[in-house]
Amino acid sequence: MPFFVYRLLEPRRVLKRTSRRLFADLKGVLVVFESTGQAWEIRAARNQALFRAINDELRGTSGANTRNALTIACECADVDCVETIDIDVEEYKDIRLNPTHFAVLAGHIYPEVERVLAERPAYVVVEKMGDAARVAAAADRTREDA
Amino acid sequence: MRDPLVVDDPQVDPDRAEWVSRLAAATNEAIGRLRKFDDPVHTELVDDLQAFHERLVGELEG
Repeated sequence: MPFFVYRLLEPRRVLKRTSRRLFADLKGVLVVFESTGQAWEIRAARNQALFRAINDELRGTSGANTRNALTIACECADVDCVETIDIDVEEYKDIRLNPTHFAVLAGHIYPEVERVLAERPAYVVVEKMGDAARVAAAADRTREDA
Repeated sequence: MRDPLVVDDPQVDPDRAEWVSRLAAATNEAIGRLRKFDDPVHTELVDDLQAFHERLVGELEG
């Protein structure tokens, strides 16, 4: 589905994304600079790489609780999201094995840049596609070298 | 029933404040870890993390 059509059909997401776009009022004329579909894919992947980098720190510093579960940040593409996911340590390790896989809350899925791999009670596993996948992989590569 | 005298201010929610504080600390750690990588992808990622950290600190400071 073309991105502009999707935006017309998804007003809630349009509102969230519009807030992140650049608006300029030039001599009374509202000029809207829209992101291209590719730019949005890359932006979404960068946002998710951000949450993954933070979760790597949470995983390393907080440790698992007595239920062998971690509390991590939702790894969705919305940088304004600060919601939490309680996830089993081993399940999160499995997700992190693939740099294009992310754990997100249900309802935080952006089908134009990712597809659902698995649905769990507390979260959904998504896989980045296209340029977003390449960005996600590039951002993850040096984690192994760190 | 919701008490009309209680203001629903997320900034005073102690659970959220604790979580945002943990997020801010983890973000700071990630910035330090990723700064050593001198490539465009990680430079952008560090920039994003710094902006996110500033936003979290701003929320904590009210």
